[in-house]
Parts: sequence; C-alpha cells; structure tokens
Amino acid sequence: MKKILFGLLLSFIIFSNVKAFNIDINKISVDSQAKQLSENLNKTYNIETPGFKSEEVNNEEVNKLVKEVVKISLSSDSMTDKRQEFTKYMYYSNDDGAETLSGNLFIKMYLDVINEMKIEADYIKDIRTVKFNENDIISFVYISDALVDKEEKDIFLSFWLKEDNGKYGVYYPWITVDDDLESYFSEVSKREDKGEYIGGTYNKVSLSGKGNVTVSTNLLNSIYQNNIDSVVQITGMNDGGQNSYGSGFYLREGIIVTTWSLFLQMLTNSEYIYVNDAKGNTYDILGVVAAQIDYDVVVLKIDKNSGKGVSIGSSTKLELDDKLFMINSKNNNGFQISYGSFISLNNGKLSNLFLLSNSDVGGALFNEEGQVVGFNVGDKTNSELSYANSTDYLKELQDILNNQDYSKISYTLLETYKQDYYTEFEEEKKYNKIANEVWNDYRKIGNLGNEITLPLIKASYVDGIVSLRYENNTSNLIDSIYLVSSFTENLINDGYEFTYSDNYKKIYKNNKYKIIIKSSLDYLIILIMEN
Amino acid sequence: MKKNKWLLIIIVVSIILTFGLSYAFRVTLNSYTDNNFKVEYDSTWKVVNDTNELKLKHKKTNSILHIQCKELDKTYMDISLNDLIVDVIDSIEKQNIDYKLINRMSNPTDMYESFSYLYEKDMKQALVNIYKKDNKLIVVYYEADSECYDIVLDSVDSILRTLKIYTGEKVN
Repeated sequence: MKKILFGLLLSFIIFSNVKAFNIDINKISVDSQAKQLSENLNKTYNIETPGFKSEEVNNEEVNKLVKEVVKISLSSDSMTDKRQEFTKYMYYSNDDGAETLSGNLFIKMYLDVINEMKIEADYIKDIRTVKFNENDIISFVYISDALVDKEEKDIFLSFWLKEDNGKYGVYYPWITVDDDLESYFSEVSKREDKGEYIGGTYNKVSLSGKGNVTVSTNLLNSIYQNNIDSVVQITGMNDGGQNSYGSGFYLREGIIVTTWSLFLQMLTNSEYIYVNDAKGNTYDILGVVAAQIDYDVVVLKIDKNSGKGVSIGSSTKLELDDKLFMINSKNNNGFQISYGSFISLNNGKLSNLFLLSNSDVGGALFNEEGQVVGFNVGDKTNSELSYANSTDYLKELQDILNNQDYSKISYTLLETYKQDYYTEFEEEKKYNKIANEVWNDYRKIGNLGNEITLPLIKASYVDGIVSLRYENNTSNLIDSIYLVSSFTENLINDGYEFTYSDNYKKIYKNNKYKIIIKSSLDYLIILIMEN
Repeated sequence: MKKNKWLLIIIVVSIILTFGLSYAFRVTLNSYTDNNFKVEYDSTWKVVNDTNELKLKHKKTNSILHIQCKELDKTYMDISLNDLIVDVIDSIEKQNIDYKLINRMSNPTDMYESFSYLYEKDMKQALVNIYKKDNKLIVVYYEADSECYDIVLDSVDSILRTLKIYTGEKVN
C-alpha cells in the first residue's frame, strides 16, 4: 500500500512539474540572431558607412495635411462637399496663376476618379514622404484592405505638395490600384518569356516638369549590353522547389553583392542557395566576405572567378528626374532592362519613382552613364516609391578586392551561417494505437488500407474517431489533398456524398460515417467518425 | 381515453426534451475582438483568458489554443516575416526547450504572411503559427495530446481562418 501511495505521489510530482508549452510574448525578440551572425563575420573586410541612416524622418505637419486630404477623399460626402473641403488644402501660388489653375484641374480629375471607383476604406497603413527641391514634397499613402466597387484591393494615394509662403498645399494628386501594378509586372514577365530584353517604366510623372519620362531604346540597349555580364539572380531552394528569389551584382569577378535581408531570408528557408548570370551559368556561394546589417548589404564569394565587376558612380551627382536603370529577371527566364526616376538622396538613401517587385531587391541601379549608384532595398516594393542604398560606400571595398587575387579573398563559410539558421527537423514519433479489430473494419472504407500508400506517422482511435496522419513524401509542390483521388473515387462509388470542399479539406458522408480529409503542413490527415 | 391522454403527454414531453437538449447542446459561435485582432470560435471551446489576448481550452480534450499580439516598431512595417521568423522562433524555442521541432512550413497562400512550426514532446504536440501584418505579429500556439491533436486541429484551423488583424490609422 505504501509503495502504491509513494508511486502515486511521485507521479503527481512529476506530472505537475511537466511544463506545458507556453509563449511569453514579452520575451519575443526580432533582431538578436541577425546581430549575432554579423558578430561571427570575418572582420578582414569592413564596410564603413559614415552618415548613412536608413530611418525615415517624418514631417508631422505634412502627415497631418495628408491625413486630412485622405479623409476627404474617402469620405461619403457628395462631390460638391468634397471639392469644397479639398479647396482648404489646395496649393495656391501667389506668383503663378497657371500653376494654381492646373492644380485645381488635377484635383477635380482626381476626385472624379475616386468617385467613379466607389472606394471604401477605413485604415491608412503607411505614409511615406519625400522632399525634393526646396518647396516640393511627394507623399505616398498606402491603404490596404480597401473596397473598390465592393472588391478588396490595395490602393495608393499619391500627393505632390507644393509650398508657398510657408504653407503646403496639394498640387497634383493621383490614385493607383494594386491591379495596375500587377498588370505592369505581368507585361514585364511576358516580355521576358519572349526573350525581349528592352523593357520600359511604370513611372508616368515628371517631378522636374521637364516632361521627359521616357528613355530612348538606344540608351536602354547601350546600358544593357555594357552591364549584362555584371548582374546576377540569386535563388534559394529546398526539396519542395524554389522558395526565395532576388537580385545581385558583381563587385568584382567572383564576388557579388546583394541585400543582407535577402540573404537572411534564404538562410532561413533554403537548403540550397545558388547564383546565376544572364548566360545561364550557375554558381554556388562559398561564403560571406563582408556584411553590414544597418546598411542592409552582404558581399558573397562564389565558387568561380567569373563575371564582370560594375563601375561605381557617385549617387551625390544625381539630379531630380535623372533616369535610373535596372537589369534583372522577374522569372529567371531572361534578363530585361527597366527604368525609373530619381527623386532625392538623404543620408545615403535614394528615394526613387521606380516600381519594384520583391525579386528586384538586391539589384543594381545604374545611372545614364552605366555606372552603379545604388542597390535596391526592400523597404517598399510593389509601390511607385522605392528605395535604394547608395553604393558610394562600397567603392573602398571594391578597390581593395580588385587589388587582391580571387583565391586570396577570405570569407566565412556559408555553412557556418546555415547551421545557425536553417534548422533540420528532429525525427517525429511514429505510432499506431488502433486495435487490429477496429482497424480491420475501418480499412475497408473506400479500400483505405490499400489506396493510401503514404507512410503512416500516427494513428489513433479516440472516442469513436479514427485519426490517421500520413507523411506527404512526394513533393512539397503537390498538396496532400490531391494524393487521395483513388480513395475518394471509391467513397463516391460506395455511396458517400461529397458534402464540402476547400483548399485544405474535403468531407464525405454516408448514413454511417463522416470522413474528413485534410492537409496540414506536409501531412495528409484522415479523420473517420460515426455520423 | 386515459391511455391516449398519457400517450399525448409522453409525446409532448419527448418533443420538448428533444428540442431542449438540442438547444442546450447546440454549437454556438462566439467572437473575440480587441484593437489588434478578431477571431471567431465555437462553443466546444471555453475561454481561459480574454484580456488583451485570447486563451481557449477545448472542453472535451483540454487542448489549449492561445492567440496573442506583439506590436513591433513602425520600422518593421515593410520588413517581411521571412526576415524576422528565425529570431521569433528562437525566442519561443528558448521558452520551451524540451519541445523538439518536427515540421515547419511557410504559408504563402494564406491571407497574411505566416509560418507554422510543429513541436513534439513525449505524447504532446504544439503547433506555433506566426502571422504578420504591417507592424503586428500574431503569435498562436495550439497544444494537445498527440492522440487527439489531429482531431481538434480541424476546429483550430476553422478558428484561425477567421483571424482578422487590425493595423493602421483610422481614416474616418
């Protein structure tokens, strides 16, 4: 009796101290590992960035004005009331009546478009403001989850503000919908698929007033031909296929530059990371030569001394509306040149009217002389406003590396980072807790026992419900729910009714059983319960 | 006559009992809303805590579903969850060192950028889902005994599919 009591007491102590899973939200950190990784870097090469700041400085007065204007734009007031309210925030020039008049017309056109689109929106996601010239500001307002004629869309309200006598007013407003951006990207992809390398621009606005939005085919061709050997695409893959994709460029032969953020993303998700150039040559990454987190840059050594280093120009010489060019590939199906316009440079950060997709991050920005002046960063993609970090800070490192033999350029092995970032799984416990006599009945349903040949990981029978978990060891590209067609065909033939379907789950029923087939992670899960 | 009367009473009582029991045991839908997120859950779950977070316990199996929000600095607005997930998961794993990672997936087709991580310890499993919208992270975990994990998972998925994350500044 004493032994039994002791055993019970011991069990109680053990189980009461077994810690259940728990998450203290206050203990969650979002940047500690990245800082740790950078500390592990080989410090042979440093990237100094004096004066560089990646933070935005907000102009509160302008933000307040913009919020009021957005409120008026999206209110349910009549057009007459909206126009009247908007006049309080319009730009009036004391010196230039024509400018005032044209501003008035732009606002009328803008409000007409807003009215036609029947927009409903409650929340401003973000406001980005860029100053250019002494008296001009451009403000981009991002509104997600808006309804445009009852359809959910992201919309972007852009306002060119001008200042007169110390007061800003709206000069030129316009609206963009996410569909417009998707159409543009779709056109770019189609050109790539056809092998066309001369692309265009999404940009329709000339902030300098010179009206020179387009660029000649000759210039595009020249920049493309002179720099196509200097650009690369970077791909991250695991067993399921490609999962990360971005851009980069050669600092010198055998050494490429991309963003630290993209590199981290690939470390997290990808088992294999490789680089390819425009000729289709593929290279492995040996390791990290240098990196600077705040500057969002990583310099990598590839396994061959190939490629052509870029010529780095000076971003400080750029002027408003100067054209900037990018050569890369959206689908890894062919490289294409596209372009946008420079707005301003602040603390080493370029603000541009250049529509970028996620795969453009890390890509080089060339000036009209074909020199690199910046590399795209992911602060704002899928937006008319985008950012790039000045490549001025890489000049020194480029000079050092150019004077070294490729074989002598030291690096920290890629594997050093991967073991900290890419986590392999532990082996999952496998069991089958269904008694034979129970299984003999259930395995006949839809000939389940023979039709599903995936490895069975867990099987249980609890409260009259059979639960089966199978591992989808085919491919991550094939959702588990598509691997049961023979089984479900048998169910239908056996008189089961197909009662529910979505991307994750199918339900079949007859008078006796309800069968739920679902996919979760890379498992196929089948639940059978009495109806 | 008397026999018919009794028969009628029994029938009426049976009908009342049937409807009464059906009503009592019907599954109803509840919702939780705060400044950060909203979810709907059914009455098979009971609320353990609903102050600035939602913690639910499954009535039949004692499984736990816990949904919390972590608001980040606005500078994280446009940073992909891909860039943050390793740090977030590392923080979570440090709080649960006995649990072993057995599976993981990013969920690009979902409404929000999200990742799922599945852990196992003895005969328990814990699923961690992290969602990101703008500068808010929604951190979810679901823990259950392995034998009923997949059974209750269906209900958990139904709840998480109703998740709506609120971010941004109100316009009107």
